[in-house]
Amino acid sequence: MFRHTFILISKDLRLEWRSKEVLSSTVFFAMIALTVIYFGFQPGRFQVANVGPGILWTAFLFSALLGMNRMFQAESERGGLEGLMLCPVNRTTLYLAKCGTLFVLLTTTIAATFFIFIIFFNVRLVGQLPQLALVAILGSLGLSALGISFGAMAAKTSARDILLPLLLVPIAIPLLIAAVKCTGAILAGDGLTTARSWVQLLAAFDVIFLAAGYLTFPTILEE
Amino acid sequence: MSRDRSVNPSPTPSIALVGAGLVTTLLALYSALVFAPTDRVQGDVQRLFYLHVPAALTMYLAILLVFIASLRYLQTRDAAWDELATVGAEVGLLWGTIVLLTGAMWAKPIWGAWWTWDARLTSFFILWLIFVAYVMLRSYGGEVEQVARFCAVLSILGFIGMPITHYAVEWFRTMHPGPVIMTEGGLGRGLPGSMLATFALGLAASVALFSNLFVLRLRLEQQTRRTQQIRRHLDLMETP
Amino acid sequence: MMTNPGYLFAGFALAWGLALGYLWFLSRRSAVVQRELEILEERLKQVSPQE
Repeated sequence: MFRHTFILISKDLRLEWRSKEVLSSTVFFAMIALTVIYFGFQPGRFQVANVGPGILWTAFLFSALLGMNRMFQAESERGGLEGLMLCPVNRTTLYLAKCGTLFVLLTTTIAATFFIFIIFFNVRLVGQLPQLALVAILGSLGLSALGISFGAMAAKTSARDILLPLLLVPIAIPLLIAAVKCTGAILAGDGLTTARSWVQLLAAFDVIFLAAGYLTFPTILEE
Repeated sequence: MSRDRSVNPSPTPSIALVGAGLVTTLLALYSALVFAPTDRVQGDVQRLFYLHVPAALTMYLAILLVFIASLRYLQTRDAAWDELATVGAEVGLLWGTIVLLTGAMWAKPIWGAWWTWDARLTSFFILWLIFVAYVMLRSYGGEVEQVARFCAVLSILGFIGMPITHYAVEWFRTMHPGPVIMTEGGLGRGLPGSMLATFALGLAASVALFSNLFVLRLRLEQQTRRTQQIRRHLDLMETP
Repeated sequence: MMTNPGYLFAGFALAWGLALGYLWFLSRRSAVVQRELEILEERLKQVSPQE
């Protein structure tokens, strides 16, 4: 099963690397979003310290939604999902593979978003990168889990653009809250130990929705 | 594949249900507006409590109903369960809207704001959003069988997410103390008997009214599905 | 004696308005669909008399 998963992930990532259609959309959208936020709020140093994490995760969330839409659209244009279902691959393996691909794309996106963020808003970092990476990974994992479930659903409907955010965001709110809290603690210099319950919540969220997504994916893909 | 239905798919709510609805509703109204004592601190606006909290509890019941119906649908693939889920979500959404609106009406004179992001309100609002998403998925989800599956998965994911959402929101809010307020929990402890009785009546009325609307909506749903089924059948027969 | 009557009234009116409005909508729509259903059932009977 893991071999299949790995093969599918690398195939998808190779395709993405060639076309770069998902990553280009998400990264540029993140840049646009952060620009709008800057002009809209013009946060000074004090505000950035307060709402910086929120700005970061908001911009990232919207980029991620855009990226998921693009990913599923590209997939269906290539006749992907149907074709894959003909392969001798478990539907659940397919879920893990898709999650893996999306996870890689999302972590790349959030890294890029963060990079733009610290430049635009002049945020100083003091060796907090490993902790930030952990939060980024946990956050992307949860979003991937939900994103594949809801993205697969939305892709099969007539209103896919609006349905994906509508389905995903309310259920992802705990993840958003926790991610912002963790990032805030790290950037404030307090470190993740002060935000331990939030990290645990993130991890719990990931486990719950990866499991639930894994179990329900065959149902979503039924013909 | 739905069960075969006769021309009259399902009866209107029974006399007993309608009767129960009317009686409890009138009693609850009288009780809430006249019988219950005026709250010393909040004044008469507090009477909205007898509408607001029962409606919220009823919506929680609706959530449970939709969840169970969704599970059973996925297990049995019997459209009857999907009908129950569809109807439960729609009437539940209406009840949730009533909760939010009456809450705002209560909040404005007492807290000075139409809305605050306190933990309970926020959690409830998120549940309401999930109901909205469910109803939209119903509308745009495509053909009947696919929509039924998708909505079932959504309700399961939403239900599973409830505990973690509850904790996240609560921790989130306790770090930002809001204005000093009289929460329903604070009211609940040591309620005088008359208030408790009024509340119980309010809850009975809410559930009875919900049930009546539920049965009516279920009838509409069954009628609608039957017409769609016949149309499909006729289309099949009339194409050469 | 009635403090804040406006909000109290508005709250109850909104709640009841929504509930009764939905009730009215349901009965109207149900009648329409019922008529439609009867017409369709007739057509079905005509097209497949051995049913």
